[in-house]
Amino acid sequence: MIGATSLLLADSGPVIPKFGQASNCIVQNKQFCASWFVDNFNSRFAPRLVEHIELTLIAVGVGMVIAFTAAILAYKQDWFERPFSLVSAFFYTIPSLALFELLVPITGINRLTAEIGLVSYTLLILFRNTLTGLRGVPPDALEAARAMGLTSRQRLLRIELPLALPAIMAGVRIAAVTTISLTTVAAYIGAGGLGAPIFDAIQTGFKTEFVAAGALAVALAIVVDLLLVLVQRTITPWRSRRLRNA
Amino acid sequence: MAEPAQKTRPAGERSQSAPAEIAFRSVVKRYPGRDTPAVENLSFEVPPGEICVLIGPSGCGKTTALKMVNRLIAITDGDITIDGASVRQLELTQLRRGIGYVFQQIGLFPHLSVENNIGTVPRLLGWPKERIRARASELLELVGLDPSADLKRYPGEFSGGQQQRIGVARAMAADPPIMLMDEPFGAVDPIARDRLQNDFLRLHRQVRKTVIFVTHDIDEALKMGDRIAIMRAGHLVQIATADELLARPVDDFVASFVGADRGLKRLRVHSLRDIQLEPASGAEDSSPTITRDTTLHYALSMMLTEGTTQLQVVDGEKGAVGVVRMDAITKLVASDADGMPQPAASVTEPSPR
Amino acid sequence: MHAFVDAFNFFFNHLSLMGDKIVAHLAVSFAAVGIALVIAVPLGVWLGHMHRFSFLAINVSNIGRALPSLAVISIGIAILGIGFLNVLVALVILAGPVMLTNAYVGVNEVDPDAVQAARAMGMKPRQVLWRVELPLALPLIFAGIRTATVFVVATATLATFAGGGGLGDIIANEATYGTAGVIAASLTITALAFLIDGALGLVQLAVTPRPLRALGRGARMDAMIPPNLEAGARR
Repeated sequence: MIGATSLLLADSGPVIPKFGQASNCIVQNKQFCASWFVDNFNSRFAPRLVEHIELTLIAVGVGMVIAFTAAILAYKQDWFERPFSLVSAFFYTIPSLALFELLVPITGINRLTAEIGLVSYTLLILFRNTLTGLRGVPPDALEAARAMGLTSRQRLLRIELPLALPAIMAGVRIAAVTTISLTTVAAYIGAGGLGAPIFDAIQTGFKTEFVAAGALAVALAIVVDLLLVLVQRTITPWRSRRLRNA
Repeated sequence: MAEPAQKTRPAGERSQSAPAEIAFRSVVKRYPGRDTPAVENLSFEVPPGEICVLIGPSGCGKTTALKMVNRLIAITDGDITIDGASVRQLELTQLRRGIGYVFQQIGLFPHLSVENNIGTVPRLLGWPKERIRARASELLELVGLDPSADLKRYPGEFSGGQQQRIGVARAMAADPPIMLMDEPFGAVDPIARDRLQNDFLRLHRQVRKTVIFVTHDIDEALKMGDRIAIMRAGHLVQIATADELLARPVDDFVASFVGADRGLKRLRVHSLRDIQLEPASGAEDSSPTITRDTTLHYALSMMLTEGTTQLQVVDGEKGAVGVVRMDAITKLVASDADGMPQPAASVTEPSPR
Repeated sequence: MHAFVDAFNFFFNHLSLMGDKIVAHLAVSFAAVGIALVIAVPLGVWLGHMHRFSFLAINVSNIGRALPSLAVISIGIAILGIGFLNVLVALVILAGPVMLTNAYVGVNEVDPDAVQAARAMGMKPRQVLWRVELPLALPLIFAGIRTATVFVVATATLATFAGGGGLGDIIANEATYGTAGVIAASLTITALAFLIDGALGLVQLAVTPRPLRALGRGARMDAMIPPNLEAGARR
């Protein structure tokens, strides 16, 4: 891990910008130096933010593909639920830091390791929610679908999956937000993202960096959460319509 | 409920497929691990365009029998044919797309608009969008809803009774020759149920389909069924018209099932057209009047409330056509049905309440 | 598998070290839960009793769940510096929302018929709260405390980055303690989480009014909030 942190330090560049020309705010290490932040946003924070979003998108995307397939399998074949649940619960329970560290000897210090860890965390919640959603489809709608002559595949695609969407989206929302949080920790093994400036700052004690990186991560998480709520509302229009008084 | 607007429709669209005949031939349903079969040796026919009601106590096998027609429940032995073709040999999804199915829990798809719900089977059959929309509009009107407002709404926005109307429309969308209805009006309040029954009967007169209708309510059966099949413990006990069932129940079970008041129930099935009226005479001017199409049940009721034993009968523009006395009504019920006229077709019109 | 054996050996060879870390870990965790409890639960109960601000009360837990733990600790370092206090505050911020929302929902959704009957009997609002609403809401309130506690115990792993001590010290220091140490500490945290979850589950059961227990109410209310495992996302 020492190797990893040296990499981080080398990457970050000078903290106190110009010798003799450092602003008061920086020298006194006040809590948040806005001008420094603005000056350095593009070089220090923007790329980290982009990395963070990329890491999250890939992790949630891959997690969805795996968990989704597994859930449909478990929906059709009951026996599959147990083993998959156990495995994903196992990964979920390991403290994230530990999981990343234990993966390093196997897959190296790079983004792949981080992604493997991040994907593992999403599996449980995405699997559980998708399966619950599928199982929660109203049985009378299913009976009608059978009686009307929809094939098993048509039922899955046109009735069961759409009706499971609210639960699936809830899972995606939790997974996304959880992944954003875990990605900050993944920086410890050199994955980049907004955690990198945080770990930098731990070495240097530069307060503005703490606040900037932390606030950006918080903002990202909240924005993503709200966005996903919006997406969910849009693709499930039948949920918001209330019964007319007939 | 809105009357259908006057629109020229291609005469074909409403009812392109002729109704089919359904025949049960010694049908048996046995469940593994159970001694007695759920349905045993069930044989009867439903002529094209007729409504046949299956009724009986809980567990008699009526729903099982119904669900074997579209193979929601597998047939153990025997066969069911639709226009002679065995349902066991027809390809399953093809079979089901040709049968309209309506059941108590309705089962509308909550995530699809009304239009898309109704259009489910047409879409499976590959109909173009415009045809589906036109069909959905037409059907919504037929079941008493408003296409301009309701096509785009979602099922959750409607009451139970309205949802079931949409369910019926959906079942009829691809114009299937037969319909299966499993206690379709059971989940709504009595007033809504009455309206739904009347509307369905009216609809059925316009769009003749062969219907098997399951219910546990004898009054609904007597009202809805051209013929009624009473089942018990998996067997068919009696299949007959309403009047026949009430007049000549085949055993004590049927007699008590149709109700100890079957005499009075028969009054509902006949109208004043089935009675020989006595000639009118000026002296009876003071009796209350009643129209000829009224049920005997209502006529008797009016006599009792008005405290009279006779009523003047008027028939549309013909005016007073005669007089009916209470003993003529009671004689009809008491007598054996031999020689009695079949109830006139118009008696299916609901009596004024 | 001999990694596990190594880990076991590590644990028993370093009992006093593990002991210190466990104590520090649990100390900051329970302190945070305690403080959050005292703030969030009464607030949630009060809001639920008044049936006010439901949108806020329900969504605050979403925000709480969304907050990246390390980021909160990070901001905390800037404001409060390194050490126990910062970690404490961060964990309080992370634990509070879940407890608040659960308390709110628990009291808000108490069977309105029961409340109406109580009022009709002449109970004053405060008595209704203490004698009817709280007992009926306790299972859900408790479920929230349980979820929050497991979550905090897991997240306290990150305290190491803010000098807060705890088992994270070992995990973050593979160089010093080796893989065996990392596994040992991880297993310990996991075991602690399960044990505490189990213990609190028993308390929750004890606290559920007996008649509701048979209906599985205690368990069903659990399902209203994110299941414990998932909220205990290891950060």
